[in-house]
Amino acid sequence: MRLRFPILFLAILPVQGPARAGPVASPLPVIPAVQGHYLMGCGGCHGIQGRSGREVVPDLAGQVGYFLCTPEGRDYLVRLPNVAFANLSSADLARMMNFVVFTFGGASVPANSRPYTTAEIAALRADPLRTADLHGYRDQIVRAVTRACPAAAALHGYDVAQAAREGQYTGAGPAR
Amino acid sequence: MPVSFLDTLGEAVTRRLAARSSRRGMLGRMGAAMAVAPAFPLLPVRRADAAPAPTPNPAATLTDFERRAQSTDPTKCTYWRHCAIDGVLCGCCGGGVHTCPPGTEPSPVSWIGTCRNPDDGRSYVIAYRDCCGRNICAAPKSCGCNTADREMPIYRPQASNDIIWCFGTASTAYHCSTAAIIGQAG
Repeated sequence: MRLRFPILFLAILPVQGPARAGPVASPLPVIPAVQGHYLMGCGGCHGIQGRSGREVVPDLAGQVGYFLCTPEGRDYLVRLPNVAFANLSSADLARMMNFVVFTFGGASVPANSRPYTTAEIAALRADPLRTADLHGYRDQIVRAVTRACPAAAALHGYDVAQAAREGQYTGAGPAR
Repeated sequence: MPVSFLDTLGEAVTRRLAARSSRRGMLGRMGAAMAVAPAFPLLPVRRADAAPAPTPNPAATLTDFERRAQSTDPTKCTYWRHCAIDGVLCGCCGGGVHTCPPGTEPSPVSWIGTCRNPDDGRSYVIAYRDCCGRNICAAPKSCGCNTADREMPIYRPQASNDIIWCFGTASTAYHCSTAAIIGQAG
């Protein structure tokens, strides 16, 4: 008789306690660190899944692997200023580049391509591209890559669109 | 003078209490109540803060924004997803926290950062995408925000909100900014 009251409370307690205390489980996917580095440093423009969908920014998905068709193309990806100067250690940058090239690149990666190593990344980022005509240099790299891997011809889409934009701007402004 | 009803009732209750309860019994109940009481949570008080923190982010390391952040009104600068937004909130302009108002299109490029949700203490990856194609939205002053958690100077453009991200759209006119969640930071 005397105990009825406390027992009633104890019966309620387990139901009410954890329901209030526990944070609601998040249904959102947890993004691994390597993908997080990609998103923070590159994904805003190159797309969350490596698809920028436009000719303003080169697509990575299904394309970026073609650059490994030539040694210069392989180096080019890391010597790009925003890659070389990334706010990451060379080990993290190597992991991120391998994620970008092998995961996003998919079928575009040539057979038997080896992943980037930390030492290779460290050496390449010490020699960033210094040319002002970055588009011209890219065009040169893409031509060589396409000669080595004809399937890479789609990479030219960006260069053609870029050249058209440059043409427009040159036409509108003073002669350069 | 007739005895009032309340007096009669009071006397009856007091007598019944005196007849039915013993002082030792009362002491026993009070003792039991005192012994058992700490086992119960303080029910009217929100206990979420007593739960173990899901991520090691003690209050001391929170930014000023994170200390003031709220999760109820996305049309305010203090809404947690707006921890690094520079511009007018699209929620004040006929759009939403991740949708563009009619007559504008989202920029294909954006910059991406992380914000802490005060409800669960976790960090989330947020894409700050501008809506373009109309002149800047004429919203109340309180909808114009400039926060800067984990933002970088403009020489790291991929993490700068000082840039108008209306590239690759039909029009480069800036209208407002959105803050879409991509996922939970690992």
